[in-house]
Amino acid sequence: MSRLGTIWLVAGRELKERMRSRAARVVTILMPVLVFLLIAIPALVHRPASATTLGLVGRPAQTLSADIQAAARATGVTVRLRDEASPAEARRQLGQGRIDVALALRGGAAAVTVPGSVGYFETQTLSPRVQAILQATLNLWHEQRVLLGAGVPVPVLRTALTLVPLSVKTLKPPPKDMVARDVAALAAAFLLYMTLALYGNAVVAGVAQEKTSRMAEVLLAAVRATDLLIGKVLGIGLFAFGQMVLTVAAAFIANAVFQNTAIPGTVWTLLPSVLLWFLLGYVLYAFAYAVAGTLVGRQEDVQTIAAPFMVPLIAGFMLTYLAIAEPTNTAVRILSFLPPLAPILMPARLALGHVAPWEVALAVLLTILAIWGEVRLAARVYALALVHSGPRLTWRSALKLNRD
Amino acid sequence: MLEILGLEKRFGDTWALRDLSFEVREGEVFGFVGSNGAGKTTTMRIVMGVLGQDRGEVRWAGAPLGFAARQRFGYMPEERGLYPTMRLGEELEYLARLHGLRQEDASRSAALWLEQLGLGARAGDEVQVLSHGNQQRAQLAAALVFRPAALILDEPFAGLDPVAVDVMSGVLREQALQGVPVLFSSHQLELVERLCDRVGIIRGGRMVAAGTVAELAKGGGERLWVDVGRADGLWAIGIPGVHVLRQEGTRTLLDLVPAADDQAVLRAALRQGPVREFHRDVPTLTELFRSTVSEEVAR
Repeated sequence: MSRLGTIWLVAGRELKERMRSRAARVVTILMPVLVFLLIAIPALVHRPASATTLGLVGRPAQTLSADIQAAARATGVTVRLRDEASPAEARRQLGQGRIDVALALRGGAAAVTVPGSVGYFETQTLSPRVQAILQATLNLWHEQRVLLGAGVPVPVLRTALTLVPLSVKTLKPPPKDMVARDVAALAAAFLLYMTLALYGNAVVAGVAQEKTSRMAEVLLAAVRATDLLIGKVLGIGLFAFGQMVLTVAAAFIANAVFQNTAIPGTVWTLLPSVLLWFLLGYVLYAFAYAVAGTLVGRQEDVQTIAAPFMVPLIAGFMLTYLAIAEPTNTAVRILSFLPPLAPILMPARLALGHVAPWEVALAVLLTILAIWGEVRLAARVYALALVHSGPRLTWRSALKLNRD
Repeated sequence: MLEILGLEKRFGDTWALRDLSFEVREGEVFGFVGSNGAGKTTTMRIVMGVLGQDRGEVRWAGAPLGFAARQRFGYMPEERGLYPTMRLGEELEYLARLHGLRQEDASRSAALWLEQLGLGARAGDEVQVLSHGNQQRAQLAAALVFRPAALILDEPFAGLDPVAVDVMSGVLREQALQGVPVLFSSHQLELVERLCDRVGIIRGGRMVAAGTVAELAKGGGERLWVDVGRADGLWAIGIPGVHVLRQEGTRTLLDLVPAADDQAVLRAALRQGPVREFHRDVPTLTELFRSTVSEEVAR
């Protein structure tokens, strides 16, 4: 059999055994379902704010309709107005949900009635913006009454009480989609951090099982250590990639069906870069995790031996917060080229939109070079440490095996 | 033929193998015996390429043993190893395929060996649920499933019940009859004596004796049991090249150096009166091994 054939055979076994495991099957189904629900449920529950329907009770209140509309236009709120003949009628309409607010004027005072209810995510009473519109209109109405009483001529009054338009100018306007970019950067960093740690641990556990079950010695009589290593990393990687693709597909479908507006569009355009960096990051970390798996003496050593890899993964994720706070920070820019951090930090920076194409190319190149060097060393240490019996090996003693 | 030529291996300051040489011929069952730590496992691991040697060479069919040829060797390591959660039948198929068999051949061969070793009904079970004895049989099946060109088995009989020992012995003899050289190590010396064509005794990383049991026995000179009706062996003292080893009642065990004349012994015995017993003592492998080990302890 060719070496490629052997690698595929090893990878195929990894894939098949993983698919046979009940826990892995549950996760494979659960992850897409969970993501689907996470997108679908908020979209179903959280309806976008529609126009507020305001019931004006009686003649006095109905005279305010033009002022209310003007104030609503100035604040960018859509208000629909309905005339209600009596307070009783207004209450009936409120009860049936035909109007959201009822406004009545009695003498010099105003009364506002709302139905009041509790929704899934908030207590539904009068929205602050509608309340502000009503307050501004009532203030205007009150001033008008007082000034008319004091004998101010109507044309003067109209001119005096016309709303002055307020125009806001920002010297350094933030990008329109800044929040969306921050969310996308954080989401990408979190997803990569989680998946690299998850599947890296799967590699350590798999290799450790081969060592502690003494299977390695039987295998190495039939397979070159390098082919065994590559096949294992490939098999687990294919399974991981399959799970990710299923999860991403579930997210796409949920978004297409339910149109969750809380998820910014940039998240979707970021996916190719997330998948690329997942591949690079997985290969980089998986080979290191595989060598770590050969150092164990017992299966119980797996957690201890895998722990150091969490440091760069967590660092990459935490540095994403710094990148969000200061997108042009020099330290973050430099650190994002380092191969152990690049798979998390570079896609996060890409999401934030402050990365030149040469920076991405350099980070990819450095990561590929690191993988190349790592695989050469890993294959040698892997072959020696995998059949080394006795207590747990340290990294130093494993490298010494290679030199000896 | 598998040739081990001048193998040397050191672990730190400890010599594991020193100038170790022997060969296993086609169709031969070669028993490899020695105390714990004598170097048996290290030799087998070097043959299988799991360990590298510091010096020396392993040759197969007249050429240095490389990866491709070694891929056709069946191996049973000292510490047994199979994927515990894999189904037995699938695991054997997988190993057969890794050793170069096509899928259909691998399936057929796995089924055949499982049947032959009495595991046919367990093909769908995970390896970890099998009993210790059945795991041993499974391990042997793993070494045989790809029709190996040679068999290297480290302690294949350890922990087996008498029935399983018979099954395993039968399989090894059958393989040898088909021309496969079989090298195996064991501490069950009676079994080795019964099963092997030739035996090698290793001590301190060196091969101290190799050959058939009869040849090994000869290597130590000749021993004679003589019964002349006397309760001491004084009558034999003074015969050139003869030493009294032991007295059991009226029987005397004599050790003759290779050049000594057994007829001179017979004449000396007849001078004492009627000779009731006069025969060669052939030591068992166990005795040979003990004497080798006692030499080691004496050193």
